[in-house]
Amino acid sequence: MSQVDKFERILSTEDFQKDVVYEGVSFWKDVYLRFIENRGAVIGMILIAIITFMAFFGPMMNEHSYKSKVDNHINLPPRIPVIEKLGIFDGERSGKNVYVEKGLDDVYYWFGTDNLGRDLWTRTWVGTRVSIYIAMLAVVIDMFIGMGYGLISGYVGGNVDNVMQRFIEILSGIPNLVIVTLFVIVLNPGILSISLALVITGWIGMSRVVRSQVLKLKELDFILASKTMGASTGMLLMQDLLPNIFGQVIIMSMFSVPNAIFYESFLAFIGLGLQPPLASLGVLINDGYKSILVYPHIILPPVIVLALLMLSFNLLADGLRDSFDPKMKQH
Amino acid sequence: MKKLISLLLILVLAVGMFSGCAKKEDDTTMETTNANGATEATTPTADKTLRIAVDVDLPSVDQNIATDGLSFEVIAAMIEGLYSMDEAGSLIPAIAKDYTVSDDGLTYTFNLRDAQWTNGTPVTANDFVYSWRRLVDPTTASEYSFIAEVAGIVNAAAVTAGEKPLTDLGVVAKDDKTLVVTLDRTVPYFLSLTAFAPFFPLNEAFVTEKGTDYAQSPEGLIANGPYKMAEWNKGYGFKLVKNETYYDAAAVEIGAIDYRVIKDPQTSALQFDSNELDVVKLTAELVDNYKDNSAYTQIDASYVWYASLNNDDPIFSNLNARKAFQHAINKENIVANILNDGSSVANFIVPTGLATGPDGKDFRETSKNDYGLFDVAAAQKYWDTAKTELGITETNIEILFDDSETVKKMAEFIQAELEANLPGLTVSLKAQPKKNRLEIMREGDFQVGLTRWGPDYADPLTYLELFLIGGSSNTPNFTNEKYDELVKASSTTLAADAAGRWEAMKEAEDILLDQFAGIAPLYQAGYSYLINPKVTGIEPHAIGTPFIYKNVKIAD
Amino acid sequence: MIKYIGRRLAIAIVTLLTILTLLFVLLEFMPGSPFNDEKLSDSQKEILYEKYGLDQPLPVRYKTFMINVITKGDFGVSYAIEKNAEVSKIIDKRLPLSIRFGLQALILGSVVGVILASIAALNRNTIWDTMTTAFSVLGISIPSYVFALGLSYFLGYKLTKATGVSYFPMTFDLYKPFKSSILPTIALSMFVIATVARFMRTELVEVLGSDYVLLAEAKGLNSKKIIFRHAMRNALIPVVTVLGPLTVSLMTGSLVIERVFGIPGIGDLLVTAISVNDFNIIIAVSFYYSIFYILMQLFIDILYGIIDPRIRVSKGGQS
Repeated sequence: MSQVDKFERILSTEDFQKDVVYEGVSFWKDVYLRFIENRGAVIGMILIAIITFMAFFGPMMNEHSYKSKVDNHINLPPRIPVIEKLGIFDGERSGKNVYVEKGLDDVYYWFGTDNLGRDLWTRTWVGTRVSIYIAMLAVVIDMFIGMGYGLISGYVGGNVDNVMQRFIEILSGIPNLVIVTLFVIVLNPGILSISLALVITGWIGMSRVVRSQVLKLKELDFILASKTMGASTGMLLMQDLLPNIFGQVIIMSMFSVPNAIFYESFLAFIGLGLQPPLASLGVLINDGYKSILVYPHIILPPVIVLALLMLSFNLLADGLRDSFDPKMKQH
Repeated sequence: MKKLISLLLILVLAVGMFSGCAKKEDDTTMETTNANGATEATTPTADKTLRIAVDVDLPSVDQNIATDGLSFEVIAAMIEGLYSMDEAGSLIPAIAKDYTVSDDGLTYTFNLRDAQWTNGTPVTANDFVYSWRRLVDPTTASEYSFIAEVAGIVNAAAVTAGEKPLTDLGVVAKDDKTLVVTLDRTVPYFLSLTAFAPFFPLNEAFVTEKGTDYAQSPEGLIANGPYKMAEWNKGYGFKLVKNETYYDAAAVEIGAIDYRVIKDPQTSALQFDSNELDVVKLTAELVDNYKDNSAYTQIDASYVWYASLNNDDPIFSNLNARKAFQHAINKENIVANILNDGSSVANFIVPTGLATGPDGKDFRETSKNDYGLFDVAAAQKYWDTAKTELGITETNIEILFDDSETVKKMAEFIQAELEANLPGLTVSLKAQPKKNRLEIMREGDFQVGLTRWGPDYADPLTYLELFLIGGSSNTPNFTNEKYDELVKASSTTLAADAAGRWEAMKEAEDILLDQFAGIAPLYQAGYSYLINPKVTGIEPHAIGTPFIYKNVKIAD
Repeated sequence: MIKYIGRRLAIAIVTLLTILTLLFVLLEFMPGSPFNDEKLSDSQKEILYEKYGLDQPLPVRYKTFMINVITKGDFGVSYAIEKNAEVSKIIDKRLPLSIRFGLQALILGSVVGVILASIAALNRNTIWDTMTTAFSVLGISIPSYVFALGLSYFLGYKLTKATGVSYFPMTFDLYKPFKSSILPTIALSMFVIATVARFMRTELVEVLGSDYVLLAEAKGLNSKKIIFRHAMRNALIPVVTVLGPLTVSLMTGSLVIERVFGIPGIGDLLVTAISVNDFNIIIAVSFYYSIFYILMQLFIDILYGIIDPRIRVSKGGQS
């Protein structure tokens, strides 16, 4: 070892070279770091992962399909092996074990069965799959159409804004229900026509929020600064405006998730839902609602899954919002 | 799950307190819900009130415009026709004291009793003439105008079509108290039609005076029956009170009938439980909770649900395919598990309890009752033949239905049954709002449609006439000359031969359901109600007026 | 400002006429007919069409329709729900009720929502924050009919059974209009609470992190004052943006709440009309909705200017 070793060359470590006040991490790494620090967001993410996993693999976990019915097995309450010994999920209804009464001693339905004798476990997860699909579609559409429309309308302003807003006004001046129903009736109910119907009106709320944010932001100094420095419109939109409105956009898109899911279930309510026996969470809740006073077990699984899904989407949204917002850079 | 509910409850309570504070101003009369269930008078003037929940708005109380059960029931509570029905469904004289019929059975002469409208004018034969003419008048455009033709009144069809003047209709007021009706053929069920709302009298002076306001509000209505309308809050409810000028007012025991529109069946069931309602219709889903309740009442209806198999469809033009469909569905399970409300399996098209034959027995008692029995082996045999004949091994069919009542569940059930029992068949379902479903079926743009038919009069013809060639309700487009001949004969050449026409109609049913399997009957509807055990005397009827409330009594 | 409002009103009228035309055309595409019953024969259907003038060619009907609506506010008669009753009369009876419930829910919802948001924002990332998030999320993720029936069941039914006194009537009662409107109002306000709380929190968090609030803090103002004097005003813009359309849909009735609580409002009317093809009612309700909607938009745009002076409304199209 030479004498050089006696001295430590501190300036060579990267950490030291950096500005300690304002860390030079990339935008995305920064977002990531702040995201994983947010406990709620991580929990939300994990929950979504679990629910998505179950949506894909849950239906394969027993031998029932979402449409197979057993006539003798209608309206059975939940019964799960092992856990039943604890006195819960033991197939009892008002003190009597319905399974034993029907002579189904070794039959187990984890979530019970519905009025047709179909396994609710399988139906719940298949329904989750459909609902997640619809929700994803709604979010994607919101993001693209809604954000694009709002950005342009708000930023360009003037006559363009006027025309675009009149168009929205006319479109949203007609109750969604009328447009959507009409659309579904004309196209015949099905997963595709329902998705398309959601496209028609789904993005309007988002575009409005984006526009109002842009209106607020574009008067601010930093935009003016960027403009002065010669930033192109595209750059301005992408780099200065977008990050600042991302928080609202994400929150809004998380709101369009339940909206989409319920719109779909609403169509089911007026008889224009998915083609049975395919079911979404909304349809399952709708069906279960009809017998909620008699067989509450039918409505509980989809309501709980839906509530969890919503909760985790919102927690995730909050986390994302905080991570994306440049003003939150304070840790 | 309990935790979730209690958490919710706490939150709800917190919010409730908040809003409760904000509005504490009414409550001069603190109402109490009696734990032991005594009915309390809601208004001081009415001593006893019958409280009924209905799930639709009242569409119309104009007897020539109304088409639905609720409207007919309310009209019948306010207006009486020539005849009425007793509890057993037999005719009893109402505004008519008695009648004579000519030897050829074509001329009926009714003698009217002294009765009056609520505005003080007497009920006369002219009120009937006016009302019946109004029924067939093209400017009224009554959806039920066909019933005059069904009744066989002379020139009914021509007047409805606008080809002859109203005065040519075969109904004349000989004097104020004598009404003469002439028919163009003998109609065995003519008298029973006079108990049906479209044939009730109307006071011409009053109706013309009110013009478009007629039957739009309590002020626009007059009555000659047991009750009259006192309040009508559209969409919310309406109230009938005892009509003191009714000729038989002494027989009416209760002071009022209070109808409330509640569209959520669970809410109305809960309202019944807290003794705020006396009569509530139960949906199939709720029946299990009330089966052992003393208030639980099953009421037979004559609606028959059937699958209309489009006889022009490539697949269902095949007789064996239609037969396979008829036999492949376990109808017992539809009735016991899905409907669960007193409906019964229909292996026929003419329902039980509709019509009594010349032998005094019900039509069903003396005819075959085993059309389209559930039989998987037979169904598969037919299906195999059908597949060979059609040259297919697998195919997909679409079932069209509307999402009313429990039809969606039934459609899902049928889908599963067909897919399980008929190899190579896949079934898709198509839901449409009811009116669109009917339109699609009328246009013949479907394969299988789930539909129903309710009787207009107490005769098998009300069902059998559906499937005449070219009939507007012949959705399966069932085409059979022999069938047409038999059905037409039973209302024309055989009209006077009671036993002969009965046999003809039995044969027609056999052709429709067995030989040519034009349709697949499913079930005959029944309804479940919760009726307060203190209430007696509600008279349900399968035909015409669904409920008659004249003799309702409420125990203390 | 007045000139601006006048111009906006003129535009609004044009928009409304466009919507009216569009509605008329849209319903032409609606399959099915209001007259379709198992019993109705084809010939009788023709007579009905003739009676209501539906047999006329499209341009003629359009002209009559527009003239009637514009000059007399006459949308024709109902074909199915309340046969032959004038549509405008049907709506006149139901609309005030829907508006009342809507406003009650809006007020309750906004107040509770703002309180929740303030709690959450001031205690960011604590258990309070999570709890208000969870609460407001539950508000939107439990279907409103389940929630409404739950309210009706526990507070209306169970509570009455247990105590013998009916604090909260289960259904709306015309003769006790306020007491019986408590439960529906709560049920209806859940969505407002959720929306306001979520948007407000997001905004408040942002505003609370801004320089001028930091300055206020540095000056020693307490948190309540900061929230109400400074932050709230700035946080209002996006909230107002989402509340506008929400108010319109609240005031034009909620199908579910109306069904569960037996309220004769126009939400249920519209849905029933759609399912029975009662075209005149569909057009009329939609049109009332449009009027509300457009007035609300105008109101909001003006409000922007008041809340945030940086948005100068009267500039209109210069930016």
